[in-house]
Amino acid sequence: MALRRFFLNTLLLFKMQVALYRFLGFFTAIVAVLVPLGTLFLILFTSGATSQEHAYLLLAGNIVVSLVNTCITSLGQYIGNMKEARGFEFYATLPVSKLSLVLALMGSNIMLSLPGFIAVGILGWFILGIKINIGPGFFLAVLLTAATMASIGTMIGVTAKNGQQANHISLVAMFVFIFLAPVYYTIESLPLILQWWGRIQPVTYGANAIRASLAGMPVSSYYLDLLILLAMATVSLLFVTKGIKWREG
Amino acid sequence: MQTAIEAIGLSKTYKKNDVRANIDLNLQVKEGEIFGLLGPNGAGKTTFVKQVVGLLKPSSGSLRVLGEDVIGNPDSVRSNLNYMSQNIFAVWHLKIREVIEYSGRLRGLSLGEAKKQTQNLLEELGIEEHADKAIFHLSGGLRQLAGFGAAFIGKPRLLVLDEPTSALDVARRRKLWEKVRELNQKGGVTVLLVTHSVIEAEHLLDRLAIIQDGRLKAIGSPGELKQKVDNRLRLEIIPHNGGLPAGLTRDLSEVGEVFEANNRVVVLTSRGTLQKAVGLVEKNGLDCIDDFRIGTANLEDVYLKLGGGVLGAA
Repeated sequence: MALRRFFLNTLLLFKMQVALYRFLGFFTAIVAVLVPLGTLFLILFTSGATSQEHAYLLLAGNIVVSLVNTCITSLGQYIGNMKEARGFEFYATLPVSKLSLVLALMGSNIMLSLPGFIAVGILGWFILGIKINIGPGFFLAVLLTAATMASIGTMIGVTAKNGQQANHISLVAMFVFIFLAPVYYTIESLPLILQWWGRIQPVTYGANAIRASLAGMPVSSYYLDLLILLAMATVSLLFVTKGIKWREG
Repeated sequence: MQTAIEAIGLSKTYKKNDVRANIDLNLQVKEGEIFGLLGPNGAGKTTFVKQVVGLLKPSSGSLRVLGEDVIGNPDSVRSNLNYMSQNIFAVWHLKIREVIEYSGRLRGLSLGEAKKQTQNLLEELGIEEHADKAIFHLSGGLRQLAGFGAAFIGKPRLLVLDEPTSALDVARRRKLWEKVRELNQKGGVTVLLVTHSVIEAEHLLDRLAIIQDGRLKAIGSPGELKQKVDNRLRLEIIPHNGGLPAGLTRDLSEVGEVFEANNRVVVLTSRGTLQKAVGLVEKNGLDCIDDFRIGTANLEDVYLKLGGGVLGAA
């Protein structure tokens, strides 16, 4: 009974959050599409895809960029602004759990990233001319990567002192997760220190898993990547749920 | 009658600026009563309310709401308590109908029941024509009404309203007070109300507490407080063009306590000297007043006497 209530409340809160895109949907979808597409074109125009393997790297990297953009940057900024305006107060006085709200916020932002990676997928396939496999394995990889990203975005939002700080931190985070991680390149091609840094970053495992599923060649490391993402998503979710303060001290 | 809220030695100090917002508060709100909290700005009323609804952690003392320890388990009271948040920023994008309906569903109503109650509330609050407008498109008053709808829906045992009518016109205020009374009398809902509208509150409240500088100054029914504080008669004078002549004010202060409230001059005087006060007005002030009336001391007098604002010395 309690579990049913939890899922129902999460669904209701999710629907409440999704309604936000009635007003912001067009612009957020544009941003969600433009950032990864812009990055994809930049790379193609400067270096191009040198091999099929490189093409899969670029494609998976851009899907990760799309997820980072919506699940870390947009979500972090939204929660930071909501926190500053004491927006949590409305939910805090309703009989709902923090986990329900966190899942609803994350879910709505994951949904927001859909247009971005669909556009990247279609255009990447069209321009790069590689065969891509969109199946359950791909969606599982995207979902787990997005969940981890959204936990980080939520964490930024709830720990920032105000909306402005959340904006700054999420932009820095975007830079760190996109350019200082093996998103567009294999981890082996990075300097040693960044290889170590890459090993503790969820985007590394997200990009690996998405790349493997797109190429349609799930290898053993694919399952390991998913397992690591699942662990990271669970830990960060628990951490975030604890971090949201319903009650002031 | 059971206790809905029981605060014992409740204190709250904000660590950030070391402000003591509540100091050793002891009060009980009984189940089924409409209880008011009155006091000037910064008195500590909202701090108390936020502790009751579990949004703020007390620094010391104990606080039980509907039999549950809110300090140890702040989540425990939420399923039986509806709080009208002053802040609906979080749902600025939702339509009024959605805000009310979702609030009902999150409080455990079925879809059918939530829709039915939402429709009734929209009609009762007179906002049906705005029901499908988003919160951020609305005026302050309509937003407040939407907040009311979200607070009223469900089957609460305790309704907490923090300055709920500050943005409303007189007609809508009356409608709201009627709804609050109806919920209390027909539904047995206990109401904790913070308001600045002392005169309106007088007709609504069963009991009230006056808080000033974080401390409880008085508690009781409006009648008890009026009697305790003042059993004198009240001569209320409405001057035109900026007040009474200084000479008249001085003369009146010799027969009673004189102070200003809401652009009116009030003289609180004993039954024996009322005639003298009226005589003074008749003799020296009829040309410079719009109206005057006689009655017993009201809650506003009690509030001002306890909370300051005295103009002349008696």
